[in-house]
Formats: sequence, structure tokens, C-alpha cells
Amino acid sequence: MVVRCLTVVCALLALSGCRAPRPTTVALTFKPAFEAPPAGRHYALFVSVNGGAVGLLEFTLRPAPASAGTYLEVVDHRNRAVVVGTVDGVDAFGRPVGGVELRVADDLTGAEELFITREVDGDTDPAPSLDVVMVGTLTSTGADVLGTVLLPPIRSDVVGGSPRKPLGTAALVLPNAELNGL
Amino acid sequence: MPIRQSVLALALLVTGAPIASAGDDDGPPEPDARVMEFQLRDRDVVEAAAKHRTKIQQVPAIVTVITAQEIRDGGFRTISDVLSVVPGFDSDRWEYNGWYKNDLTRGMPRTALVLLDGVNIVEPTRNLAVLDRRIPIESVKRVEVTSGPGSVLWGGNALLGVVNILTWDGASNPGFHARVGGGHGPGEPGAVHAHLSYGGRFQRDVVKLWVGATYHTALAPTLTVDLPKVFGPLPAPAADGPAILGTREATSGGEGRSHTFNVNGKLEMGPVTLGLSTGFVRDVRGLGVGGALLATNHGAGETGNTDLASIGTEQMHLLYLRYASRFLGQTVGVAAQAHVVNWKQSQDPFGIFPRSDLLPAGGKTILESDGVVRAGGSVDVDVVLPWQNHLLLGGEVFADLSGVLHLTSFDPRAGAETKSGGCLPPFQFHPERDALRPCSLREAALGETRRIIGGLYLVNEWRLSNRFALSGGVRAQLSSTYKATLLASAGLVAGLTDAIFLKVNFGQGFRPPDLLSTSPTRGIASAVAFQGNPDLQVERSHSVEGELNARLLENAGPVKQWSLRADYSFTRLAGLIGFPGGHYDNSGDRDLHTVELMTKLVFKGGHELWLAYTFLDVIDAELGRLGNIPNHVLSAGGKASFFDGRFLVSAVVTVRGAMRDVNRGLPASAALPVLGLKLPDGLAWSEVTNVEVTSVPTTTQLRIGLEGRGLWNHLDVSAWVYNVLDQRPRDPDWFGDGRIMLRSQPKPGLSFAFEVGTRW
Repeated sequence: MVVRCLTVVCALLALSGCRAPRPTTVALTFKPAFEAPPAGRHYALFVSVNGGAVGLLEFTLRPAPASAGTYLEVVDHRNRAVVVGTVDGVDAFGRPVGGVELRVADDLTGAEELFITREVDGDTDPAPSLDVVMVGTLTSTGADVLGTVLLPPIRSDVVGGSPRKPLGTAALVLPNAELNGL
Repeated sequence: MPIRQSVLALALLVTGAPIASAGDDDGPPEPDARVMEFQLRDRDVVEAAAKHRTKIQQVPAIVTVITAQEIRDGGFRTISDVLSVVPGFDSDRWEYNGWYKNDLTRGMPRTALVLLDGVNIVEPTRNLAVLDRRIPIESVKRVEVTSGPGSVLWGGNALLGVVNILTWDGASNPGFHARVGGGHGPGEPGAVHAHLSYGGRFQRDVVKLWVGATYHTALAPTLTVDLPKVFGPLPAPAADGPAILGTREATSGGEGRSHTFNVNGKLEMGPVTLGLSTGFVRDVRGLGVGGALLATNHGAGETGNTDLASIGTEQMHLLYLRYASRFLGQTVGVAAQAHVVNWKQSQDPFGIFPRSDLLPAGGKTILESDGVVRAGGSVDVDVVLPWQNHLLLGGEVFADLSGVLHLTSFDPRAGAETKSGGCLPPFQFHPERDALRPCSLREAALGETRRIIGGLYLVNEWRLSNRFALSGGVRAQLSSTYKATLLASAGLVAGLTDAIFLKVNFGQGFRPPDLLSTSPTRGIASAVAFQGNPDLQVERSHSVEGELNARLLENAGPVKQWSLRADYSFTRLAGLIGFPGGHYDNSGDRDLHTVELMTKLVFKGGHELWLAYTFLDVIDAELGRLGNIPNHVLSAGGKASFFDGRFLVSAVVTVRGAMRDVNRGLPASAALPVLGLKLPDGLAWSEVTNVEVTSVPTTTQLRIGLEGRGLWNHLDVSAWVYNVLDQRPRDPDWFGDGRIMLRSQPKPGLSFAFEVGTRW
């Protein structure tokens, strides 16, 4: 009797295995030096994985209407009603604000670089343009987290010069289904 | 003991339960054996969960019954405690650092319909029923828990389960009963508890009365925060931003005394029952909703501020009138009910952040509700039809009416020195609200809202034989605020033997959007903002379940009974309401796989062992596999009975598996400048990209109790130690907006409680 019951339970347990989507959470900050793109342009966020570029978000910047324009909002280029975060600043009440958070369906385990380009509005080519505005090499900053400081790209036509100032930071929270025990 | 036995014997007579047992064949059973028979039978009967009295093995649903005797034996203090040992339920999950507690059903918060004596007590503003001390456990006769969707029978909110709480009546708990006790420990310091009840029958048993009053008070628990928050972003849609944390561990506790007072009563006059439940809660918490220790002062100097805690007051008042009788030779039963429930709450002060150089007056708001009222009625009819059919049909209609939820926000930049005309827009000068924070803004976070909900259902059970039954049902649900919903259910119960039953069910459930999520109120300028979406649709569940329910042994050697139930369910939740970016919306599907097991071994002599286990795997279409719920929860307990049941030793242990929590920590360099601002020593910035994935380790909650019952015939004495291992578990964030927040939420440690009771 007991064996029969246990068999049923084991069979039920076996049925419970299933495949899950493996999304990644992307968190970003942009320093106040990051400005709105010129007219006719927007920004695009990419990560390079296994030698290819994966587009995560096309966005633009605009003054935050709720805060009398004291800081910039980061809005989805394709749907400008969606605010995904803000550039670092201080809101109308004196509170420091800033940060962008989005979830992407892709498992970005193995991502090597995160970079942002300037793209022409209406451009349907999914590949990144060569107009890179900031870039960072992703390294492990903890369990299941990759992080980087975003810097302006090194210009090949400039030798020497002052140190590059950070334009932002990024963190990728990778999917993890390993923690599954008592 | 004789009095208790007479009470139980009385109950047996009243309920009409036959006292058939193996012992009957051998002459009159021993009194203790008779009590045990009653207890066993009491557990095997379903009174409310199926809307008619039936046996637990034959009801086409997964039902767990917990009786008052089991509640007492297990040292359960609240309904949440009770649910913590029901497979599939994970109770006492803190939300917003102890603002209120959630009960998770199959991993999902607020997905069970909670009925108190048949009345829905899920408050519609947040779809929330808090099951802590505000429902006094002494007033509870039994709890019947249905696992799985139950909306065809019960309507809204039965998305993943139904919790039926049944209170005492004058027949089942007669006489005066008094209990007085107290307790102490970091988990619940300075606790005092008192209960007095009376039950009786009059007018040749036509009139029955039970009334009970309960009071409980305790100081705020000791809570240790590893990195105390001084300042941080508010939940979305407020803009995200860096947080400022203390760099050393800090502890809160004892900030003030919480009080809970309840009166419950039931007056029965023939077929008519008038029921009442009224409760008042004053809740004092040392942590802000975001995890800040409110009593600390980070360099702001003494400002004379006395708001060192959050203080909430909540009330719930319930009144119902029910008529229930049977006609036509007991073949037709009718139950008609009218009810009104009123909820009211305020949070004053609703502390958010402590005082600091950055926020000299601290972060503070006031939440005040004008109240929420639910009023309506229901009719249920059951008809015994030819060919072994049993038809249940009925319906209900009720209105949810919510007054304004006022949110008053205080400008953290304005201190006592600010004069009239010195407030920055949109704040206004109102020193009468708080002289230390004279600039404030009072807005309607939730405007007046009303909705009317109605439903009609029909369920038929066709019992082909004693061992085989088929059931099916449909419900049409209508509302003034969401689209009409049609639901269906089907079930099969097959007895493999007289003691082993197999059940297969298909069930559907739905949960209406809470009023907060649908309110069109917009433009809250100052602090926490709500942007309701009036176009939200109901959340739906579709579940397939299979259960094996067996009595493996009965009266074999020292074993009185060994029962086992095991079930697997697959549930798809559709249209779950999320809060991405601070905007409520119906989101994608979520799949739930659960395996639940419960087994109980009852020995002759009153000894018991039981074990409950839940495996849970939840996969969200957008978020992936959820990590902030445990995949495994194991509960076990038992009692040993000595000296003819006068002395008991009991223990309950719950092991909750590991979880993961995504949060923000301190940067590697505590001096990282943000926006050019410099912080005092002992504080550090936390950037929004300084993300950690931490493991919330496995926790073991153990409680041990000693009880003496019927001492000197009248006296009951008990002593319990809760959280014996003093484990201070942490809950991962469960904020509805999905934003990466700060740190997991600390919870209380060890406490002990004692109680003396008498009955006459």
C-alpha cells in the first residue's frame, strides 16, 4: 500500500519538471552628462554575446514633466508613453533620482560588452550603427550578476588626452534556476 | 476532563453524528476512546467547504480540515499559523517590512477567498484578508481549506483556494470559558492575552447563543536590519534612484505597544442565525515600509520629533443574518443570507524614512480611509434528485463601496522654523497637522469607488454508487466594472476501496481587480503614487488536479488510524495584474506545478504524528521561474498524551526551503560620490546598479509546548516556546512593482507564551 502511494507521488513529481523562460534584468544609471540625442536621432542599447550584438532597447531622453524638467526621463523610442527610468538628477523635492530597469526575454549569460549607439530615427536595420556613445566591458560582480562602468569610446584619432569620465553604470542580473533545495 | 467529555458528547448529540466504531461492538467504549472517535470523525467531515455536509474523501475537491482540538494541540495562535501546516499554503509572509502579512496559496499572494462563517472578508481595496490576531483563534471551531480554484461554487477571489473559518455556536461550545496568559521574548515582547466566552441554549434548545471577547497586546518585535536604510526611492511610479544606507547592523524593537480587541457572537433562533464579528487593531511598527529604522537619527540633531514608529489602526465589522432550513422531507435545503462588512484603516504616522541631514524632518505620510463597505446577500439551494443526483444552485449579489483614501504627504525639506507662505508648491502650510512638518499636501489616493457584483451557479453531483461520483458545475459572474465571466468545473471521485479514493478535478477561479488598481485617480504629486487602470480585467485560473486520499490503516495494533493524501496540480493563471513601471496592467500567464502531501498517524492513547509537504514550481511568462518563494516546504508535528490525556507534550516544526532575492547592497567603495553630494561618516550610497543576488537560506521554525488539561477538573495550563531555534528568517521582496529594492525583510525570533484557562 505504502509503495503504491509513493509510486504515485514520484510519478507526480516527475511530471512537474518543465522548461522556463530565462529572462535577464538589466539595470543602468546615466550620469547628468548624458544628454538628449540630436533631432532625428535616438539611442539604442546593445550587448555583445558570442560575437553578435543583441538589441535590448531603443530609447530617447526628455525632460521629466512631473519634476519641472529638473532631470531627464528615459523613454521607450517606439512607445513614448513608457518611461523606463531617469538620468541621475534631483527631483522637485530635492530627492536624488536616477536609474533604468528593464527585463528582457533573452538569457544574456556570457554577455561580454554593453554599449549604446546613436541611431537614425526610422532606421529599420537591427544592427548597431558605428556611432557608439558609451561602452563597458562586463565582468562578474557577484553571483549571477555582470556589471560595468560605461565610458565614452576610445577615439582612434586622439592620442593621449584626459581620462575618460564615466557616463553611467550597468548591471545584468542573469537568470538562475539552480537554487531549488531545502 | 469530565466536563470536556460532556461537552463533546453534547456536541455529538447535537450534530447527530453517529458514534459507530469498532469499540461499539465490544461494549461501551472508554470515555477517552469516545473522545478520540469524535475527534477523528470531526476531521473527516466537511461542513462548509462543499456547501453541504459530506465526507472529506467524497467531496470532489482537495480539502483539509483543522479542528479546534488540533488548533489547540498545535499551539496555533492565528489562522495564518493554521494555514502554515496546510500543504500548498505558506502563511505569514511579510509585505512592506511588516505593514501587513500575506498568505500565499500555491506561491501566490492574496489568491484565496477567505470566508468567516460564510461571509467573504477579503477587503476589496487591496484584495487582502489579514489572518493574524484580528481573527481570534479562540472563537474558531474549525477551518476548512480547499486547495485549488473554487470560483464556480464560491465566486470571486477563489483563484487558488478557499479558506472557510467557522466560529463556535451555543451548542458546540457551551458554558463560560476564560483564558488569561502572557509571554515574552524578542519575537513578541511583553505580550498579554485574555479571552472570555459564553455559550448556552435556551427555550428548549430553540435559542442558542455564543459570544466571546478577546484582547491581545504586545510590544513591537526585535528586528535586526543588516544595512539600515536612511533614505531611498519610493515604489514605482516614483522615479528610481540611489539609496543611502547605514554601514553597520542596527536593531529596532519595543517602539510601542500594539493592541487587538475582538468580539464575536452568534445568536440562533430556530432556522435563523444572527452573527457578529467586530475587531479593532492598533499596530505599532519600528520599521518603515521600505525597511528604514524610524527611531534612528542620522545627524539631524534633536528635533523633538516623537514619530519614531508607524502606527496603524484597522477595524473590521461584520454582521450577517442567515436563514437555513430543509423542506419536502429533507430533500430540499435553502440557505439565504444577508450580510454587511465594514473595513476602516488609517496609518498615522506612516513613517517612511528616519530623520537625517538629508531629510531633517524625516519622511512621513498619513493614510486615512473613509471606509469600505460590502453589503449584499446570497441564496443557496440544494435539492436531492432522483437517480442519486444532488443539485446545488444559487447566487449572490453584493456591492463594494469605497470611500476616499486620503494620502497626506509632508515636505521633508520644511521644518518647524518654516513660516506661513514658506512652503514650496504643491505643499501648503498646515501646522495643525504636524507642527514639526508644517508643509503638507492632502490628496485623494483613491477616489470614491463603487461596484456591483452578482453571480449565479449550478453544480450537480451524480453519485453512481458509494464509490463513484461525477460532478460538474457552471457559474456566470456579472459586474458593473468588469466583463461578464463564465466558469466551469468538473470532478470525478472514485473509490478504489472503501478506504482509498481517487479524485480528479478541473476547476476555474477568478479574482476581480482590487479597487486600488482600477481607481482612475491620477496625479499624486508628492510621495507614493497610484495610477489605476479602469480597463483591467479579472485574473483567471484554470487547474487540473489529481488526489489520492486514503486511510491506510485503521485499528491495527497500536495504530488508531493512518491517513494519507497526496495530490498533484497544474494551474495556469491568466491575465495576472502586475505593476510594471507603476502602471497596473493585465500581464502574461503564470504556470504553477504543485505536489502536496499530508499524512497523519493517530495512535491509541491520544498520541499523534503528522507530516505535510509541498513542492512548488512557478514559471512566469515574463519573469521566468520565480525564486522568491520556496520550492519545498515541510511541516511535521506530533503530540504525546499522558495520564489519560491530562498531560500533553506537543511540537511542530516547519522547514521552509531556500529562496533567492535580488536586491541592492553597498558599493565596494562606500565613498562613491553620487551627484556630487558628500555623506557623513557611517553612511554610504547604494547605486541602483549595485545589484546582488542573495540566497535566503533554509529556515527551520520549531515550537514546543507542554499542556495540562482538566487539572483539578477545571483548570487548563499551557506553555509554549515559539521559534525555539531563534531563527530570524528573512523574506525576499514581494513588492508588486517588480523593481529591485533594498535588502530582504527581517522577521521576529524566539518567544514564549503561557496561558491558564478554566471552564464552568
